[in-house]
Amino acid sequence: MKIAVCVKQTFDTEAKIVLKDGKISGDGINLIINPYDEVAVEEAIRIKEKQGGEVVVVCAGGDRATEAIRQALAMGADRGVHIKVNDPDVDEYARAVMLAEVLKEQGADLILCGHVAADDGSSQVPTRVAEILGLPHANVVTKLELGDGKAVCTREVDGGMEVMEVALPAVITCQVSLNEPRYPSMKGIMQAKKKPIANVDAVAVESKAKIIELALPAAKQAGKKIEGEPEDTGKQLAEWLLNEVKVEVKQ
Amino acid sequence: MLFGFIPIDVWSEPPMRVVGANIPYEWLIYLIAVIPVAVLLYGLYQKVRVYMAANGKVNRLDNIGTRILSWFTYTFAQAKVIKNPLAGWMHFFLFWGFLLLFLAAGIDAMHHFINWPHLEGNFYIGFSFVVDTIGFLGMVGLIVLGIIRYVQKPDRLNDTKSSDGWILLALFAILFTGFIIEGLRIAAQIKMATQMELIAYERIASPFGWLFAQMFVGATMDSILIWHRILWWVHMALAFGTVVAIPFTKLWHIATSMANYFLRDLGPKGAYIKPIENIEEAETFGVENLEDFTWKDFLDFDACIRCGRCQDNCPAYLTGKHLNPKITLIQALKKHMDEKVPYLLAARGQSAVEAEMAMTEDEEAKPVMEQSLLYDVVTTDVIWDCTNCRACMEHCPMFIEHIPKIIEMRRNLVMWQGDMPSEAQMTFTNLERNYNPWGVGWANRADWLNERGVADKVKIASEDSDFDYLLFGGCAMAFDDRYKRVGEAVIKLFDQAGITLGYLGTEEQHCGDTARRLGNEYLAQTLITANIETFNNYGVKKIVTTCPHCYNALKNEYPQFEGGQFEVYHYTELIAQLIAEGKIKPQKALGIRLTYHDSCMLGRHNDIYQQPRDILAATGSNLVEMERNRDKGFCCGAGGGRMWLEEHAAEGYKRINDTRTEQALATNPECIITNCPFCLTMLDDGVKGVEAPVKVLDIAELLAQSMN
Repeated sequence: MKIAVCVKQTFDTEAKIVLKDGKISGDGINLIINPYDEVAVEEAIRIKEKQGGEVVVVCAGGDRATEAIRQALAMGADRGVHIKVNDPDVDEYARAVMLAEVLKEQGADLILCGHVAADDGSSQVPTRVAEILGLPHANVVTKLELGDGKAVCTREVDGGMEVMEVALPAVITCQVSLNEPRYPSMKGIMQAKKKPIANVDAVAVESKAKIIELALPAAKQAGKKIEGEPEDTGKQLAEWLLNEVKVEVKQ
Repeated sequence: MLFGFIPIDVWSEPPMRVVGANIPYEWLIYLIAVIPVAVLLYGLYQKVRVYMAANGKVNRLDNIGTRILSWFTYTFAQAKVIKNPLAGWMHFFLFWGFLLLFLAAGIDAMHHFINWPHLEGNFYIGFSFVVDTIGFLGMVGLIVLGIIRYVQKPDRLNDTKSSDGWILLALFAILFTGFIIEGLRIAAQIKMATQMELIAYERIASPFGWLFAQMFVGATMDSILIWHRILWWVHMALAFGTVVAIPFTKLWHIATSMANYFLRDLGPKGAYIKPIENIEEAETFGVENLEDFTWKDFLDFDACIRCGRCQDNCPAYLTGKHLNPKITLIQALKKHMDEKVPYLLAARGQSAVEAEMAMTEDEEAKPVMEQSLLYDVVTTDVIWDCTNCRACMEHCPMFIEHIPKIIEMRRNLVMWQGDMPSEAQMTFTNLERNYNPWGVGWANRADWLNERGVADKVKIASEDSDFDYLLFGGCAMAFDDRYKRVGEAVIKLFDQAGITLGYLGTEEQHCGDTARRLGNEYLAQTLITANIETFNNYGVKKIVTTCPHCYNALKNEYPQFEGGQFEVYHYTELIAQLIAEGKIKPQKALGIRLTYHDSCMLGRHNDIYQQPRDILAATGSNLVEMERNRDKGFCCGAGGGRMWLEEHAAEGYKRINDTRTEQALATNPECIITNCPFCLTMLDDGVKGVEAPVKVLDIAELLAQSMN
């Protein structure tokens, strides 16, 4: 079975985000594989280890995205395809078109993705890819069983779960509870150095949406300390709640 | 005197003893002696072949002078053995008894061939007295050791084998028959003596032989002489038989102990983990198979005498985990070595499995060659149970190096098999991405200074690198809310003493301890070299640490890397000195009843026991020691990277930290004092479960209380 995994390189989830000229500054920020995509890589490797096949990692991104591909290869994927995208602001539509182009060429039996990217959180790309390729699609899967030409997916739905069956090939997105990604061993890292990464140019496609503004959440306010005698502090607290927090008092 | 024999003389002038008197064919013994010597040499050859089957490399032939001194001290003064006083001193007598008796026999033999040295006169009396006395003490030692093993039955001797008893018995029989023949000889002399004064020197020369003689003086002369001859041969047979048994029984420890005293790791106590050289180019990581160990490791397996002092002090064993340094680590490895090495040796020229197929008769048994060292012989549970507390290594009378073996196996599991507890995985990822095991963003590393209001009391190195000491606060000070308060106390103490501290802020990275001890040497080296580079960028010479894990890493492990030599202090060393110099003056006596928990890294790894206690004394507190303190201190459970791993306690067993907390509470303290952020967390967790209002504080916090 040939499995393609789409991975995105994102900021470390603990990174301190600083805006510079309205854009996120990359200084001192560590880049990682989107944690949800890491789960997809792990799932693909587990399927390969169980029933054989090949795992191809597809990543659209700038030069540093090679690191993300290497890490997936160190975990156990077989080869990588790096779609060179130098503009970080390409939208989900353009990204999906670029990925779909390569995925069509690869002709995988199964396409796995994380269900959301930890940076922009738009959750659009895998669904768009499925749409472009005209493939069945299951989202936010927590359990995946492969049968003869089909996949049985358990999905999280509000307050419960849903089990659905899709014919293969299909695009399936993974939830973190699906598995626990492995830590690449030195053996894996050494082998990864010898595994091939194909560099391909992205197909020319215009974004349909563009980011106008980025803003950081408002800084946390320091707490307010009220001092004095109880009758006084009570009064102060009430005034503060009324005037500054603007609590509505229903009569 | 080929067929005849020298009769026993009534007395001699000057006093002496005729060797071989009353024994026909006595000269035969020198021919027969060739057998035990040959067997001993053959056994030695076989053992060396076994040790040479190891592929790992280690150099233990440096500093020959120190090694000879070490060999001398630990062999002849039995300096490690007597650390356990009762069994130790009994062994001391046993050792010296046999050594001197063997020497005496050797002198007798020498005299036989070259008629020198002459044992006569006062020299004979003195020499004989010492040998007689120590021989008797050796016999007492054997009896006491037998009582310990078979009557007292301490837990540490929980794997007694029948051979243990036979060997005790054989050794006892050698000494006992020796005294009987001496007694018979003296009895014969007494019976022949016309005047008691003529033989009176024997009462001094052989006081215990004289006592034995009293049992036989009533017998007829003929039967005394006959029994003397018979038992003389029995005595020699026992002695030679025992010598023959040396290479094939636990008696081999006579050789391995001396070898280990000579070949031990001479480095600082806390520097036993060695780097993988040129790790970027390395092709193997750690130990996967038996033969990946070094010859010194093999020697260690053979040196284990199963005394169980390791197990007596092992927090994992004592709380019911899988690890027992004696049984499930060293003895398991020894058994595997004994089973596997013959096949490895036979396999030269053919595949090892073929060799085993050819040699093995039992087709049912799982072939030794197919047993996995990591999964069948030692098991991963055992490998991950170790807290690196170093109690086993501290108390082992053989200087067996347990932890390096654990680390080598962890290295293979982590870096080669990719098999580790998932918590370890997350810890590594956190260290890789944010340089701290908590995984908090590295850019927030210096935030705590403002949070605790001490930002104006340290210089950030990137802004001003002119300071007395660089404070290496470690990850806990930056990210553990509880330990930030300790950081505040330490900084204020140094500030009050007029000492300027620098701080690396966001440039500081994890010291490497957690990664290294969890087996991720690659990650550890990345962190260590990054820190070394930063230190050197700012021209740092003197470093003060608070976390004892950082302390041990920086002091003992960083010098293993290029440019990693710095003057490193734990804050308790400096503060104790500042108090002594009057630069820090505690203002009030606290009068608190407290107990002090020695951290493994400060204690057994660096022998810092006294300075912390001096500081506690300066606060006017009342220190009540726990039963297990100083070098016998009981680990909190968080060392060796276990801080970040789940502790899977079997049913009916306690967690290590709860066990230590109970030991602390047994002293009925108001306060438990620690010197380590991990211990603080573990004991804090421990006291949460108990009713008593006991606080857990760092030394610095206690001292700060007595400053205001």
